[in-house]
Amino acid sequence: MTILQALAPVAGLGVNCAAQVLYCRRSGRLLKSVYRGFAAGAAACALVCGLNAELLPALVTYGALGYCYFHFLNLGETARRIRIVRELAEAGPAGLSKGELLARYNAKTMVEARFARLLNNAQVTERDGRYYVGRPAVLHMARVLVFMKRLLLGRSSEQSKDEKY
Amino acid sequence: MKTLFWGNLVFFSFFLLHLAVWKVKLPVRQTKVLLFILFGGLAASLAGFLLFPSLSPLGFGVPAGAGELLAVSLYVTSFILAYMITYSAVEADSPTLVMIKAVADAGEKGLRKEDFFAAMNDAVLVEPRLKDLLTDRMAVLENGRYVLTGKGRLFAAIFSRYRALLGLGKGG
Repeated sequence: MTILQALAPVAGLGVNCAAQVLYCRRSGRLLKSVYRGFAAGAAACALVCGLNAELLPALVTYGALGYCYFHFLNLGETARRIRIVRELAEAGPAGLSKGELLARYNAKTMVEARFARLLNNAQVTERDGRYYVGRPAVLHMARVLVFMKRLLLGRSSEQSKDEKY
Repeated sequence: MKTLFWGNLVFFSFFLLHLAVWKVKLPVRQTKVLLFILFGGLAASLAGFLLFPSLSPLGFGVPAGAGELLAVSLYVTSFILAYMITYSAVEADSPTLVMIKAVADAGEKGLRKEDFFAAMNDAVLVEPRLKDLLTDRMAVLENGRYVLTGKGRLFAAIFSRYRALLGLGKGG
């Protein structure tokens, strides 16, 4: 195996990032830009590696790197910790008290935004002022994560720390 | 196929070691210990490949030469990073997933919005993340004020600049 073939997944990731940034800047559509960037990167990875026995591991490696890039973008989009860090950075060297921080970013705004997203994507539906599960994709993800939490941490959520430890 | 065989063997061996350690005692700084186990395992495996070049379990000779060693290193590194990023979702409760699970748990009678907001408050959603920033030394508490450390400022700059590059707002 040549070094160039070994580096094919990295080349693919580079193309993925560049294509995703360009498409996102032009269209403003984050999720669609992620899909297009991933496809462009996979093509570049295959092109650099060539059609041989090394292509499958190269594509698996590229897939894992693409998954990381997707989550990097997702962290910037939805992660609470990143948003808090950015609020503190904007506040400068004086920082923020808990009250000042909560005035800028709090549970109410956070939940409203996520609830709107769930309703828009039909993951949750509303009937007579009550909410029900719609499409179950996000629910399946939640169940997988609960399974992993039980396996790794011995509890099903941060709020149930007394289950095992 | 050599990359797939050795890459999976190395990653899953040290993944099992991580599971065993977690069963014995959950580390305080989980991410740091996880990185140490998985990247330490990769480094030890690469050293093993160089020290024992004639090993050939199940007919798969150890990776040899710069290309093969690089391919296996990248394969394992990509899996480690993918697992690390997934693990962050295991460590902390995602509000969206907690919300959908609460709706599902309400079953056929459904969930009232007011009940929902009563359970999802700052103490549940914001304060644990503030505590994480202190644990991970991204911020310090000075006279009742949260102030970023150098690590926290670097973290903020990476995401701010990338979001600006994408032409997107604050997020969160």
